[in-house]
Amino acid sequence: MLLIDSKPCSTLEILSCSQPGLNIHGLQKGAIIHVLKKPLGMPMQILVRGVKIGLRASDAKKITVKVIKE
Amino acid sequence: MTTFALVGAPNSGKSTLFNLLTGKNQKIANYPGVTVESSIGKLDQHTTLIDLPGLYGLKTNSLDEAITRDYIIKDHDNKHLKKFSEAELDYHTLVVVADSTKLERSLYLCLELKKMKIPTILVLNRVDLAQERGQEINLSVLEDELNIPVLETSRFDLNSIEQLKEKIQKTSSDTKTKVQSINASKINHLINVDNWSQENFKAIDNVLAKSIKKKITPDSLSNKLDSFLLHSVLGPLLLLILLYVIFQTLFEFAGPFQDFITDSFDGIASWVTTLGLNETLQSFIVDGVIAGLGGTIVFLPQIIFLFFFIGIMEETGYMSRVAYLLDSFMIKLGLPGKAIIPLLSSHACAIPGIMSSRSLNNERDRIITTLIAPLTACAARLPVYVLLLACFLPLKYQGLGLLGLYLLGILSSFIIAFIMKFIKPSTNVQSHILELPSYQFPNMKMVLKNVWNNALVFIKNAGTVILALTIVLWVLTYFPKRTAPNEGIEHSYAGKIANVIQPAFEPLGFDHKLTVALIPSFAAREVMVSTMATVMSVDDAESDSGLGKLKEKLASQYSLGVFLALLVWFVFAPQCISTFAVIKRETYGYKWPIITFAYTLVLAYLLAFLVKSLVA
Ligand SMILES: Nc1nc2c(ncn2[C@@H]2O[C@H](COP(=O)(O)OP(=O)(O)OP(=O)(O)O)[C@@H](O)[C@H]2O)c(=O)[nH]1
Ligand SMILES: [Mg+2]
Repeated sequence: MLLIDSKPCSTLEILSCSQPGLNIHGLQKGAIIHVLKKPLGMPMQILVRGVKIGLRASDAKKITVKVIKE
Repeated sequence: MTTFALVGAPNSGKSTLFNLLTGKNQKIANYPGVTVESSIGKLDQHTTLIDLPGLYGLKTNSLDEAITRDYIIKDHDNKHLKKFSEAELDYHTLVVVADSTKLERSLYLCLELKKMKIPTILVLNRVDLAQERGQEINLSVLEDELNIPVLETSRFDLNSIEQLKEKIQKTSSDTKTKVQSINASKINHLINVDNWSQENFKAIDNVLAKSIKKKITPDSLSNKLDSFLLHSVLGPLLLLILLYVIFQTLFEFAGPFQDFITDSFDGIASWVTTLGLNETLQSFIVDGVIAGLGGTIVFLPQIIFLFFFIGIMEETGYMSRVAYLLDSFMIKLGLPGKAIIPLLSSHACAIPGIMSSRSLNNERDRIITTLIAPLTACAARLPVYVLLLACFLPLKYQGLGLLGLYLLGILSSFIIAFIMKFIKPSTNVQSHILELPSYQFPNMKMVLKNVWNNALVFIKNAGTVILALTIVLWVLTYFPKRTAPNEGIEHSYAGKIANVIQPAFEPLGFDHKLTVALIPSFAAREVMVSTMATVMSVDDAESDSGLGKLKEKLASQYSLGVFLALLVWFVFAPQCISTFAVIKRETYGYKWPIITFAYTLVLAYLLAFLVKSLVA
C-alpha cells in the first residue's frame, strides 16, 4: 500500500521509496515509521527516527509501506 | 594557530555553542537552516572556531549544505570558502554537534565522517531536553563504540560549555591527522551507492542499542499543541488571529514610547529656536538634523516590537509550523515548502531573507524566491506604513490596515511566483521535507539580544545614511533662500528638480512635496518618513513645525486616494540599494537585480495609478 493511503496512528514499515533525497532523512527500505496525523489538505505528519516531519502528498505517493500496527 | 569547525545536522545548536564559546552573535532560531553563511570566531588566542551551515550528511541538496560539505572535504573551489585563510581551511578536528533528542538521526554525519577517517569530537547538545524526556546514555560505551571523544552539552549548563572548551584546547595539542582533500563530484560518486545510507543507519542503530540505557519518551506536549496549531481549519485561523494581534500591539504598545520620542525631539527643537541662532543655521538644525533623525527614530519602538515578535515565533518553533501551514499554497506556486522561510524572514529584512534562500534545493527555486522576496513587507516599510495609516485610519483599525498591507505584500509575491511557474517552469522533482522541531520556551536573553542588534542597525542607519540624505534634501529644499514667507517649496532647488520628475508622478496624485520626499527613498525606504518631515517643515516655515504635527499636516493636505496610492507604491516599489546589491551577489550578475528592479517599478506605478483612479 502507498504511504498516502495509510491511517493516522499506524506504525508502518517502508517497502520502497522511489523519491530521491529522502533516504538521508531515514525514509528508506526497511525503516519503521509512525503516522501521527493527516490533516486535510496539508502535509501528513510522520515520525521517522525520532524526528517529526511534514511530508507532502506527492512524496507520500512514492513510498510503499506495509502495516505493522494500526 | 589551530582551527576547529562546528558541523552537524541543522538545528542541533551549533551557532548557540559557537556564540557561547567565542562571544560572537550568530543568529540562532528553532528551525533548520538558520545559518547559511560561515562565521569565524576565536576560542582563545591560539584557536579559531568556525560556525558552518547545518547539514544532515555528505550527500547535500542545497547551496548552504554544499558550503559545509566542501569545507569538510577540503574542496576549496567553492566560492563561499574564499574568505577563509589557509590556516582556517586546514582544520585540526571537526566538532560534530548532534541533537541528543534525535540521536537516531543526528549521528548520521558523525558516522560518515568516521568512515572517511576525518578526525572528530562528538558533542551531544540539548542534553537538558533529552534528560527531561527521560533519556539515559552510557557515554563511555558510546565513546568506545564510536572510538572518538564524546561530550554532553546544554546551553543552560555553562560548566558543560567550559568542558567543551577545555576538550578542544586539549585536542589542539594532539598531532594533526592529515585530511586528504576530495573533489565534490567524487564524494557524490562515493556515497551514491544504494546501501550507503542504509548501512549508516544500521550502524547507528547498533551503536545506540549498546549505549542507550533508557529511551527518550515522545514529545507529547508538542504533539498536543500541534493538534490545534496545525489543524486544517483552526491552524490557519489561529495564524491570522496571531498576526492581527501582533500588528495591533505594534501600534498600541509602541504608541506611548513614540509619543515620548516625538516630545523629546520637539522639545530639543523648540529649545534650539530659543537660542537666537541665525535663521539658516536654525533651519538646518531643526528642519534638517532634528526632523531627519527624529523622523526616523520615532519608529524605533515599532521596530523593536516587530523583531521581538519575530524572535519569539522563531525561537518557540512556531515559524516551522507557519511553513507547514502554507505548504499547500506553495505547491500551487511551484515552490518548495521551505521557500516560505526566506519569504517570512524577508518580513524583517529582505537581505537575510534572500540569503536564506540558499537553503533551497535548486537554482530555479532560489532565483524565483529572490525575485519575489523584495515584495514582502520588510521592517523599513513599517515606519512609512505606520505614518500613512495613521493619517486616515482611527487607531482601532490601524492594526487591521497594517495586516492588510502585509498580506498584500506576501500575496503579491505568491502571485508573481505563480506567474513565474509558467515563464520558468520547475524542472526537477524533489522531496519536500518539513521538519517540525519540538516547541520550546524561547531563550529570552537571546531574543532580546537579537532585538538589540537589529535596533542598533536601525539607529546606525538613521544616524548615517538617512541623516546624510535628509541633510542633502534640506539643502536642496532650503536654497535658494526664499524671499517671501509664503513661497512654497517649488522655488527651491529640490522643487526645480521635482518639476522635471513630478509630471511622471502626477497620475498617481503625488504633488511636488511628495515627489521631493520620495526621490531619496529610492536609496532606502524608511528615508521617506524623515524627508517628509523635512519637506513639510521647510515648506511650512510659518507655523510651529513639530514632528507631532506631521501626521495632521499630511492628513489635511492629501486625499484618501493619495494615501492609498502612496501605500501601494511602498508595497511594490524598488527602494533599497542594499537589496539589489545582495541580489547581484547571490545570483552572480546584473541580470536578476535589473529584472527585479524593473518589474517592481512597473508594478508599483501601475497599481498606484489604478488605486488613485479608483479612489478619488
Ligand atoms: N534546550 C536547549 N535548546 C538549545 C540548546 N542549544 C541550542 N538550543 C536551541 O536550539 C535551536 C537551534 O539552535 P541553533 O544554534 O540555531 O542551531 P544550529 O545548529 O546553528 O542550526 P542551523 O544554523 O540551522 O544549522 C535554538 O532555538 C536554540 O535556542 C540547548 O543546549 N538546550
Ligand atoms: Mg546555525
